[in-house]
Amino acid sequence: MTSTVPPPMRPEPDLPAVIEAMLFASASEPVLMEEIRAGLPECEAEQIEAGIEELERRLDRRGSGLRLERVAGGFRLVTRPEHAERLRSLFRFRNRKRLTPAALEVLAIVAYAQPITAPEIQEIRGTDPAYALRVLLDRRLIRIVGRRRVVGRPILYGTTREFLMHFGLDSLADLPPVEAFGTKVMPSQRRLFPASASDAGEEAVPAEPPAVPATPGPTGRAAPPPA
Amino acid sequence: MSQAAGSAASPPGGLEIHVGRFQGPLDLLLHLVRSQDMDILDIPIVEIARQYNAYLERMRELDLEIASEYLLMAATLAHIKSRMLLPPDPEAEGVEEDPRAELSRQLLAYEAFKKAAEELAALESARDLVFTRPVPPPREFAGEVTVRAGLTDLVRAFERILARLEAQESTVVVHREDVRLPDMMQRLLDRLEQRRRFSFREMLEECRTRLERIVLFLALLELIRNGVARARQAHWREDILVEAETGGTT
Repeated sequence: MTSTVPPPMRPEPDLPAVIEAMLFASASEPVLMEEIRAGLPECEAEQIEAGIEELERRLDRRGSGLRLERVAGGFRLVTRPEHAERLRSLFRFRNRKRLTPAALEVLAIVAYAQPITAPEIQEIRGTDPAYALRVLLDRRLIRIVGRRRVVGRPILYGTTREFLMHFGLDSLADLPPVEAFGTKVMPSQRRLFPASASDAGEEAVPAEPPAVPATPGPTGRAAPPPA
Repeated sequence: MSQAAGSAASPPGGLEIHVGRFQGPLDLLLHLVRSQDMDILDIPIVEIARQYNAYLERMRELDLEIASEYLLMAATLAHIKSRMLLPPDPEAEGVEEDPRAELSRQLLAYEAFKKAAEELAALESARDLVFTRPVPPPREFAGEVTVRAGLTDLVRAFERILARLEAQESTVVVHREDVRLPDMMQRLLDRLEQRRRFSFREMLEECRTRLERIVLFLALLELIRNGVARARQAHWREDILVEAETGGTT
C-alpha cells in the first residue's frame, strides 16, 4: 500500500457523494442529521437535506442495489427488497428471530398507547404480560420510561430506537393507523381506556442514552460540541 | 373463520375451534363474536357464554390446563348474564348502562390492538427482505464507538458478570465485612484518577465477595448519576468500560 497525501478538502464538496460515504462507513447504525452536519460544517441544513434527496435520486437512477432509508430519525443504506432472495444465500446461518404473536400484541399496545404500565396492558389483553415484557426488554424493543404516581408506582414502558429500526420506521408517527370503534386510532391517541387512564402524574427516567462518542471515528459520529 | 383441522368433536353449536390458538380469553371471545357475525355492541350474552363455556369444557376434556384468566372471563360472562335478567333499578337515576357495555369496549380495544399487532407483523416481514451491513466498525476504532445502552443492559451485564464470577468462586468467606457505598465510590474515583478508562470486569474480579461487587456496581451507577463517570459497553454480554465524564466535573 502506498501512502498518499489526502487530497485537500474542496471548497464545494459533492454533497451526495460525501453523504453516501458517511452512510457506507457507518455500517448498520443510522446516521443522524446532526452527525452529517458535523462532518459538513460549511453547509446549511437545507443544502444537506437537498444533498440527501439528490443521493436518493442518484441511487435510483444508477440502478444501485442499495437505497437510502430514513429510519429512527436517521439515514442509512440498505439493500433493495427485490434482491432479498439472492442475498439470503450469503447468510445461511442468519436467523432473524420473529416475535411471537403474544409478544407482538404486547409490543403493539406499548407502541400505540405508551407510556403504559403492565396492569393497563393486562386490562387490554386479558392476560398477564410479564413474560412478553421481559422478552421485549431483553430484545431492547421497549424500555422503562418512568413510573406512574399511583399506589405501587407501577413501571411505565415505552418503545426504543431499536423498535423503530426493527420495524423500519422513521418515527412513532409512522406507525400505521388502526381502525377502532369506527374511528382511527393514531399513535398519538394515548388512551383507549379513559377509565384506567388515571391521569396521575408520571415520574420520568432519563431518555435513552444518546450516542455521544469520545472521539470522532470513521463512522462519521461527531464529538460533542465543546462546551 | 371456521377452524380447523385436528379438532375431534365439535362443541354444541357446531363451532369448531382449534384448541390453543388463542392469545387469551378476549381473543377467544372476539373470535366467537366475529366468526358468527354477532353485533359487538349488542352481544347475545346467553349464547356467547354458552359457547365460551363449551370451549372451556372441551379444553378440560383434552386435559389442557386452563389459565385462570379464562376462568375469570367465564365468571364475568355469568355475572353479566345475571345482571341482564334483573329488572332495571327504578331508583337509579338516568339510564343505567348496559351491563355488556364494558365488555364491548374491551373487545373493541383488544381488536384494535390485535390489528395493530398484525400491522407490526407485516412490517417485520417486510424487513426480512432488507439487509443492512451488520459489520462492526474498523478494528482500529473499535474501542471508540459508543454503543447505546440503557439501564436494562447494564443490569443484565452485571447479572452475567456476577454469574460468571460466582462460578469461579472457590473460597468461602467466613467473616462478614462492612462494605460501604462511599468507600466503593472512592475506590472507583481513585481508579479513574490513575487511568482515564478502565475495565469494570477487572475491578469486579478484585472484589472478594458478592456484597462488594453489588456495592461496587451501585457505586458505579451513583457516579454515572452524578455525572462523574460514564460507562460504555460494546454489547450487553461484554465488559463495561468506565471512564471519566469529560463534559462534567472531575
